Amino acid sequence: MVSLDTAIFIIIAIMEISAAYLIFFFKNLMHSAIALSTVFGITSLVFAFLGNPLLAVFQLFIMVGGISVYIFVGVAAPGLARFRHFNPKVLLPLSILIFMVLAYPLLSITFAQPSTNVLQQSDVTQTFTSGVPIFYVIMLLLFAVSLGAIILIKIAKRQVGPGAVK
Amino acid sequence: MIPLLVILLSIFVFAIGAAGVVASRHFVMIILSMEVMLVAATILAVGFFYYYADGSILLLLFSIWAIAAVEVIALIAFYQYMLKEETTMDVTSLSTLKD
Repeated sequence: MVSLDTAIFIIIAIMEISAAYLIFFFKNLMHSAIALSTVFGITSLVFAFLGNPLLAVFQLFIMVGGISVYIFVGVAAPGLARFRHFNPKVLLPLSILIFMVLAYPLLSITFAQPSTNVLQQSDVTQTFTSGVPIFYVIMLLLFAVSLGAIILIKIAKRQVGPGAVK
Repeated sequence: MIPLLVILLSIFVFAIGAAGVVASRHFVMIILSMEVMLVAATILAVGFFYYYADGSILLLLFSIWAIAAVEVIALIAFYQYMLKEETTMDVTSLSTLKD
């Protein structure tokens, strides 16, 4: 009998794997970037499910800082739909093959009894009080990277012209 | 819940990213695939620390996220260079960069 948390985790895992595949099946780079941001968001769900809400928030920070840059870069690539950028006949079997090769040693492993979650509430509180300014600085730096990407793309479009992506 | 599911999820996501690197020809898509592999690494690390480890995972995860940020910056730099030089994004034709 599958317990409730296991069922929820399996649903989250299916969502994440589907989003990861969708990255490659979209022809528009903007859509691929959105699928990648979905992967990051579901990963933060996994973190929260594993008892680390703090890490889930950090994952969202990184997603906002990093994926927005990807999306900005994707805006500059409208010609990707004309480019056959991946081979689906290779991706699907190869991903399953790599999964089987990597997962095969797990068949002979006996897992030790898991300990309890080490990130208790007190640890989370301590991290928030001592490290929050650093995290805000990192988030601001990532936001600055996003703004820099916008400026670079605008400059490149002005120099090269729209639709110049090969 | 057994830790096997977390390990299998991270392995599957890593396999998708690795296969994406092999199957893709576009420069940006390869970087996105590497990003997917980093996501798999973070899932495995968080799962391991959740079940077994004793200590803080923040340093490890921040190192992984720093690698991801560096990838983004490298992607933008190369992308802008390729736009400027009007080179192709097809990595199978990147031998023209040596010119």
